[in-house]
Amino acid sequence: MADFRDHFDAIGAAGFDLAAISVDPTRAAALLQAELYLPFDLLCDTDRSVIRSWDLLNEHEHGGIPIPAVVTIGHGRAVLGRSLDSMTRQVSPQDLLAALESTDSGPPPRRFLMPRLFEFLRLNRRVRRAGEG
Amino acid sequence: MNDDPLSIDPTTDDDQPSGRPNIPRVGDVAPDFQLPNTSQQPWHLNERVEIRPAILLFYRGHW
Repeated sequence: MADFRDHFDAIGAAGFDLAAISVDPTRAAALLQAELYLPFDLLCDTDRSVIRSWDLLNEHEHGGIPIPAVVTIGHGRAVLGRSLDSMTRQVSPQDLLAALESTDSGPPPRRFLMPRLFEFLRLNRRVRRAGEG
Repeated sequence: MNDDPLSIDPTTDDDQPSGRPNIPRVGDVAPDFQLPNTSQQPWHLNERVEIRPAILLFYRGHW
């Protein structure tokens, strides 16, 4: 969350809105927002209806919490990209921004932007793994 | 659940976690929702993405 806070301006400059979703009540979410100085909206799915409808509910922890994920949604609510993450590892905003910056300047057709980003990330991962080997 | 942080499926369904058939995939239309933010103001997905695309972070919560 702090990583995305630190890159909030750049994400906005790249043309994206940013929001985070949990099952926290508004008071707990507001506390987190204040503690971490988060400039983006924290959305409160206290009845878990959204997380359940997105099939991202982990019912086995803390009464049901989201599976960590980053999903990019475009016009018409089309899913442009997604990353299903582990508890401790998440796709970084740095990687997101690097990929965004690697795209042509000017607004590309948005439905192609995130697939290009994810293709970049996948290639970048392979290059890193090859370098480690 | 795939443990790879860059487990992303840009064009295929290869990475769809087993037992999770309804997680929206690339190209799907995501379910609409409206949720309150910390100021109790409604945040409506469909309205927001008509203005610009949105990155949604699903996080575990504050404890």
